[in-house]
Amino acid sequence: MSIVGCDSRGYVKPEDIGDEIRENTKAIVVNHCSNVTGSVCAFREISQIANAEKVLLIFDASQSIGLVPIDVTNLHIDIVVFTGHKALYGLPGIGGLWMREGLELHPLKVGGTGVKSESLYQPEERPLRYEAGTPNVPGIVSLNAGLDFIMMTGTETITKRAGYLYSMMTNTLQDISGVELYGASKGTMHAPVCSFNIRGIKPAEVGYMLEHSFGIVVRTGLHCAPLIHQALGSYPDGSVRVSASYFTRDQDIEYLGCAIKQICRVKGIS
Amino acid sequence: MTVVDVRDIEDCFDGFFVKEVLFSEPITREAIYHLGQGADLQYFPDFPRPFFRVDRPDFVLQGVEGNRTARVTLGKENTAQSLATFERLLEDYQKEKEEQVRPHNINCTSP
Repeated sequence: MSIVGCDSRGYVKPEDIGDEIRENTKAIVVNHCSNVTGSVCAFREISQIANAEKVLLIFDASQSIGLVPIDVTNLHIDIVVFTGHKALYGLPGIGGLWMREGLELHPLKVGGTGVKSESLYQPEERPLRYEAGTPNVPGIVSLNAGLDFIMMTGTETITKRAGYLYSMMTNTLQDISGVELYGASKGTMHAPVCSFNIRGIKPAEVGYMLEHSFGIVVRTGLHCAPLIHQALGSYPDGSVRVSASYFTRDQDIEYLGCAIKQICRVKGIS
Repeated sequence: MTVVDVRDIEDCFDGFFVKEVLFSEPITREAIYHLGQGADLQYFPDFPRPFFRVDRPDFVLQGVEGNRTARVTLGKENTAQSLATFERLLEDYQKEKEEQVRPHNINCTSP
């Protein structure tokens, strides 16, 4: 396995992926959207490389699905994996795997499916082939409700709102002296997720203050993605990550800005 | 005020040394000042919910006035000893508090 690094803004250069392809390369696995910076990868270029090199392209769309359109028909994508608890508004513990027609994987688990009880073997047809055991019904129902909401609201409306919230968050944070924002760049697609640090304060402390003193819940640390933090220069303490959803109001982001300013002021950071 | 429970905090990086402590009662301003005596105390009463941070050689305590929980970062080399030091400081505070409320000059001997 080769690991392709990213630049100091968190972007993976498609040509760097191309450079790592060997004769025995089976697949390119790429994070569609960074869970640290919100940056959306150059998926068209990466898709072209996968197509040209005849390797599988596996997209982790956990951070982007529901926010950024993924055209599996026109792009050369073989597998999309995603969680349901982020922008699809489902419960934690539900997720999905989409596979291109004609592609077969060995099931990770086998067992009862609730149908074809007479068979000793896992059914061959989808989705039963990959759905052994008792399904997570509460998770499925919640994901269905989330999808209903998205379809009712319209993906275009949600994508537009996501872009607006990202711009508002980055503009708010960039204006505060002492704040270092990671991965923000104009003219590129982002999910409404951004990471920052306040100079001289550990992210864990900022997160604690935001949550317990101001009622703003953020995630701090390495976000289970230590490599991108090394590239961003935020390793080993990580960063403060703030995420907005369709339901985040403008005044919530304004309040975040006020809270960060107040923290900077009392800590003597300017 | 005593420590009722100490829990590990799930964290990708330093969870082994950062603990959440549960107190028997909400942490007061007086308790914060007691813990901060002779240490580096930061206390921000103007926050919507006042935040404090106490830096001692053995541990760093962060919390919010009025909460029953706080976060303590313990020394990596001597985690158990650091926690014991923290608990002893709280016990001292508790004794001091009880001393203040105990009535004086009462003869408790039997007639």
